[in-house]
Amino acid sequence: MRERLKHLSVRGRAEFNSKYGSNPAHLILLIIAAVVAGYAVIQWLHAPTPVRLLVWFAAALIGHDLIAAPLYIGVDKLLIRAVAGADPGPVISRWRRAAINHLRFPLFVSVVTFVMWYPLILRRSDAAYFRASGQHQDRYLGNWMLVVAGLFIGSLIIFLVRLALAAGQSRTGASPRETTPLESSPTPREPGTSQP
Amino acid sequence: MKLPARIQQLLSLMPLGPFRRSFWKSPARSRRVTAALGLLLLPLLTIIIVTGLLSYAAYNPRLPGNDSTPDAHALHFYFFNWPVAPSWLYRLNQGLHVAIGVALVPIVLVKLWSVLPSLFKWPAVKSPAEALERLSLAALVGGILFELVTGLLNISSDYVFGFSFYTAHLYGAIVFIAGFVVHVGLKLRLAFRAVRRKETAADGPDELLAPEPGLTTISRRGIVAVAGGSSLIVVGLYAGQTIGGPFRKTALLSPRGGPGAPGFPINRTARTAGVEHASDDYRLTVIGKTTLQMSRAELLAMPQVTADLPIACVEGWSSVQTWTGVPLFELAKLVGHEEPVGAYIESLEKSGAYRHVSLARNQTGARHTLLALKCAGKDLTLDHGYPARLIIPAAPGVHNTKWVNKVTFDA
Repeated sequence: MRERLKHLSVRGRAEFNSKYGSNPAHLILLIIAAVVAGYAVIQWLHAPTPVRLLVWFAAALIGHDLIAAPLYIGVDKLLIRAVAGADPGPVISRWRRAAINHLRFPLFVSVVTFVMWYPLILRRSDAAYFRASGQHQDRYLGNWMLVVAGLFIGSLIIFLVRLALAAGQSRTGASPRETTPLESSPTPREPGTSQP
Repeated sequence: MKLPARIQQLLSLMPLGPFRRSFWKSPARSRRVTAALGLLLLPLLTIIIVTGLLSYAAYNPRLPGNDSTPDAHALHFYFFNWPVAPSWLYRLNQGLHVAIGVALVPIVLVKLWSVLPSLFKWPAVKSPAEALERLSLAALVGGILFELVTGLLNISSDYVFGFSFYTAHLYGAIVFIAGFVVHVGLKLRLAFRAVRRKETAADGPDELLAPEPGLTTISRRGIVAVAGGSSLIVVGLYAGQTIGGPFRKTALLSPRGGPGAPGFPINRTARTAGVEHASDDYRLTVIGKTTLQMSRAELLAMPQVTADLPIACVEGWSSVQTWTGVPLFELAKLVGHEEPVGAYIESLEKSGAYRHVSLARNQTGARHTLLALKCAGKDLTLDHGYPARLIIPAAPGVHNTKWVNKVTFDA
């Protein structure tokens, strides 16, 4: 009897898994999550501004994937084209790659800091900020431009130091693997970037 | 159910564009990179959830007038009397909550970039399980971005969203937590296997790998380094407003830091509050078993206590100041309450969400809960609450009511 029950439950489980696409624990977890999230959404629906809340949530949901991502992927393509040319071939030199990333990183941080603090930088919220703090937001545009300048200059200095070190090493023959920018030959791929 | 012919025709052409896996060219995407970013986010998101929930409890929302989202009855189960020691408790909690929120922004963006191809998976869902899972991802992704956006706008005083920040941020957090728990529950073990390169056959092929990779312009290690490095820079430009001291000047991109920012910020000016300089006929009303009217001179004539206590705003900034004033429990004794009691404090301010606060017994009875008259040895300035303000150890900044004119003790 016990054997039979066990057999039945195993078969029932397999049937459930194949119909549902995962195990029962998966379904239970997702039902609990749906109840919890549903509670929050119902609370929003009772707020004085339910439509606004839901619109902002929907905008947050698609904002990155459908709006920001196509934009920054496009800008990144322009950046690569500017450094490596329109048709760089399948592989670019180590130093061109470094040049791309020494521009990419400060550009990324500059854009992210702008997006994070644009109400301060553009003095969008100056009135409310003044009512709270007794201060104005004049200083933020300058602060941000200082940060942007620092990022690009810092990145350039590190790039130049790397170039100088590599040039020094190749002159003394310390590291035959390194290539100078003048030779700019393709380098073996790093382990982390191996292709399938 | 029959679909219109045109839609059927379109579906027969799928996958198209981004729905085609070969559309995604970056050789830097892989399950391992996504897993590494996920494991970087896991402790940060855990801390931000815990500190967020604690921040709500810190308001003692069960006491009258303290709850900015009074309909959240279902959340009352975890409330407790917020402690008064250590005095830096709320400063640490809120400092972490907002600083980690700031630090999360670049890492979340890189993580979302790393999983872009799975958003455009085709067929979109293969089973009911997958359909539910994708819904939970909407809660996860929509939730975290909604929380980051509302949080950042709020600390920048930009109320463009036009809804109550508290309602939005609290329930947005619940939606996010639901998605987060599901995601961690379903993916944590896979993430560990992926970073250790110990995936099993059951894990299936890596769907984030580009089948026709384009030019390599950054290594996978580089992707994780960009996420971590930019996060450190962003938080480095922010954290000074929480840490204070000389670091306040270095916080170039923070709402209350940077060169030129006052060391002791104000969160509501007297002008905004409509409070004018108190004249000589200012009287503090103290109500208990008896009622008293006290002038500021009479308050100053009582035994004074001095303490170094932080003011820590829910918006993340904080500042430690030296306060001098009358302990609240001494006032309670004057009106006949020898035993610990709760208290309700009111301000000269006519309107505003924080013109009053209810204190729990442990707060009223604490040695260093003061009706402060002086700050750094001088009379309070009007913007900091002259003639008298409340200062409570470890409590949220807005509970330190300014321009106090009435204290009601109840047993």
